[in-house]
Amino acid sequence: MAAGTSKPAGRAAKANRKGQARLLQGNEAASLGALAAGCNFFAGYPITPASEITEYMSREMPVRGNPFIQMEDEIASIGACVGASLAGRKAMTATSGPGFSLMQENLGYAMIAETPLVVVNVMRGGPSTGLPTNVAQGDVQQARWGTHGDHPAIVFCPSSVSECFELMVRAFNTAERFRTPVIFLADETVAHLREKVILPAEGDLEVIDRRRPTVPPDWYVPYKTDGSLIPRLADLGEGYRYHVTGLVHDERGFPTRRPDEVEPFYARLFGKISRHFDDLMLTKEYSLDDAEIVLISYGCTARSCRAAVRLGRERGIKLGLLQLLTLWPFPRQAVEAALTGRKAALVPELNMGQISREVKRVNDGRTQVIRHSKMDGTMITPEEILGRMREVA
Amino acid sequence: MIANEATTKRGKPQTKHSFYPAWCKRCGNCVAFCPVGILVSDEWGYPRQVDKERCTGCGLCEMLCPDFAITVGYEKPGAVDLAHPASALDSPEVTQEKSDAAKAASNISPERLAPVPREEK
Amino acid sequence: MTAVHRSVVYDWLRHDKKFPHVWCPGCGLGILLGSLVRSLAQGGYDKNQVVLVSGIGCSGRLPVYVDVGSVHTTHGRALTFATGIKLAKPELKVIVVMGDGDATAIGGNHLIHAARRNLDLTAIIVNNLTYGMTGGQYSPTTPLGAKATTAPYGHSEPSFDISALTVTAGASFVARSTVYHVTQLDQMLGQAIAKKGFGVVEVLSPCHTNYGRQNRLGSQVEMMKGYKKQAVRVDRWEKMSPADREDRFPIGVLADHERPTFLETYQGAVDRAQAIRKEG
Repeated sequence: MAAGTSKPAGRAAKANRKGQARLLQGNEAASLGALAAGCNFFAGYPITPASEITEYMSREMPVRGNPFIQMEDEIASIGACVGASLAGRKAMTATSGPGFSLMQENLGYAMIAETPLVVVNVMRGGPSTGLPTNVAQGDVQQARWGTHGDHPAIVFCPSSVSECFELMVRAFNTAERFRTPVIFLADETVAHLREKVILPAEGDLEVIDRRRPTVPPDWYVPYKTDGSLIPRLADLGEGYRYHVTGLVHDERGFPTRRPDEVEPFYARLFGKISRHFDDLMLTKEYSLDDAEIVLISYGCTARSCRAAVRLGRERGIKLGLLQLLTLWPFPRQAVEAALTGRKAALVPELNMGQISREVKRVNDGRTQVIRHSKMDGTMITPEEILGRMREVA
Repeated sequence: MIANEATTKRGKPQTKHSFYPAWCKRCGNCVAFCPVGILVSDEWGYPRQVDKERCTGCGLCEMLCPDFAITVGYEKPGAVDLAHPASALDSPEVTQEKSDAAKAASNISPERLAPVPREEK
Repeated sequence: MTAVHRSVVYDWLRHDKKFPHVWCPGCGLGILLGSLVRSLAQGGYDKNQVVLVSGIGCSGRLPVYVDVGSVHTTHGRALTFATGIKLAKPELKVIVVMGDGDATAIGGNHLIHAARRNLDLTAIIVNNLTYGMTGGQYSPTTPLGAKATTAPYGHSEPSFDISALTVTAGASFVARSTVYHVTQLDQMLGQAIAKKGFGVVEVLSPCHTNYGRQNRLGSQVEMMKGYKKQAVRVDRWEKMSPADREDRFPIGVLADHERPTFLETYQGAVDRAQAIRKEG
């Protein structure tokens, strides 16, 4: 990042003021959101277009006396974050496609060991080195299914700089509450965009911390849960001497292969998320009430959709938008409602149909779902979206 | 030297080996590496002490046992045979189960457990 | 420091974990487990302040048996998790147990960078010259010409010298021992754990089930007798001619020097950052 090293002091101080309006980059807002949510450990590795987060953290963490480390690769970065989280820190790492691919194994570890953690993936063109400085939305299904083995996933996707801040706070809160890694799936455009943001005052933010054991160490059964299905997590080195493993484990944390212990383990891993679907599904609606054609979109593409809705209505096309802030678990109920009673639905996205496939899956004959894919390293324009309207209307 | 301990003829404190067959995997390290050669394998492969008096109490058998199945302490006059410390880590039922298993194993005919000579090619 | 009795091991083994452990009869990992626990007890460390971290492989199963905080991580990545734990809570004693494949193949990059960074960790690298858990495939330390299940006609690659590698990469303390030299192993582990900075102990341990069987080295007893013959104390090693060094290796402390640790140098950055921020 070019700017930012000159007067970091003033910036941070301003951030704490109530209702402070600031011009921020998406990556900066995400970093500020992390700090506001209590992030006190960062490990990362440079990669375009996510490096600004790593740089921001390298400036802010030492000031707060917290650890920042640039590791030897992304595998090490997420490994360090899992370790720090087990020792009680709120940890985050930030990367883009190639690094996110490297992180997948340890992301699975964080899931099975139920470690709170936030992983930022700023999407760029892929696969492989792809289009490092161009926007894309090709990692949507990877964020869901990237690590091996069946598992739940929580993925948030911002479309504006202020959503970068808000969703990052929510990402940390969700990770801590559910004891699970959460993926913050931004894209190059949103991450590098500069917009006015009204930052909330510190006291106005709800910050959730993980539930720690309250019983004496001798009574602590690491993976025994109450009705919430979310076990309490003891920090390493606090007298609760327990075992953490990537193997399927029993309530005490020891590896097991007994079907009568394995089955409940997986049931709980999925259940702790699926039981709280309602709290996780975030969507925004724009002019949806009387819309004849609904646009369903997310990330930077949702920005074009908002403009298309406005322009379309000026021209007499009754457009509406359902913007997905939560990509996974897929907000099925909101999408079903948005699809019902429409002439058609258009799903514009910067991939070959990763979310439109999901929309078609939940559509179940309600309406006609059309995908609008673009993969040339540039954004979908409002005019392109309106151009597709002629096919529909 | 502690006065109330039993001593050997040479006046050294008399050591006391304690074996815990429930954990022993019969690897033979203790027998092979005893510097004074006072441990032998019994016909089932478990270690046995043959010449108490010569034991120097070096503890090598204990440290080279990968399974924590031997401890070397000192014999006290009139002391009862205390349980191996490992038994404290097993619950009473498990200890019983394991010692039953060890007993069952020891009922297998020695021929079946005898090592098969390696064929030289 | 008062000497603790060997039987202290039983106080440190996990009471709710089933024994006997998973390893093959005669496996050196059990000997190392005992040695590690004795060194910790001897050093007077508090169980609550010790964290054992391991990767994947036979060695990965070691921490679960010790009554401390234990983290069994992914293959080759134990050092990265340990780095996070240590940075998050510098007061903890973080000890990492890895195998040769774990530490020098898949985790080779993490090993040299951990040594370079000199974070206050102890890395115990159990070198059995093979991948034991997966059935005896060749590892980066398998000697040239040796047989492995993936080198049925003899291994075609030269091997890593783990100790030399970590010395060069900048570790504060590097020692080598074998599970046969168990009293020396206790000392080496004790010194490495006490050392400020990145400490490495390479522990040669027999895998008679795979490496020994494929290379006709006999049981673990024969393999450990082999260590007795091949291992030379480092002071004697230095006086030996290259011809005498053939087929032998030095044991003992191979490097021991003072270097600033990562936590010390990072504290410098913290101080500077806070001073700058105060000035505004």
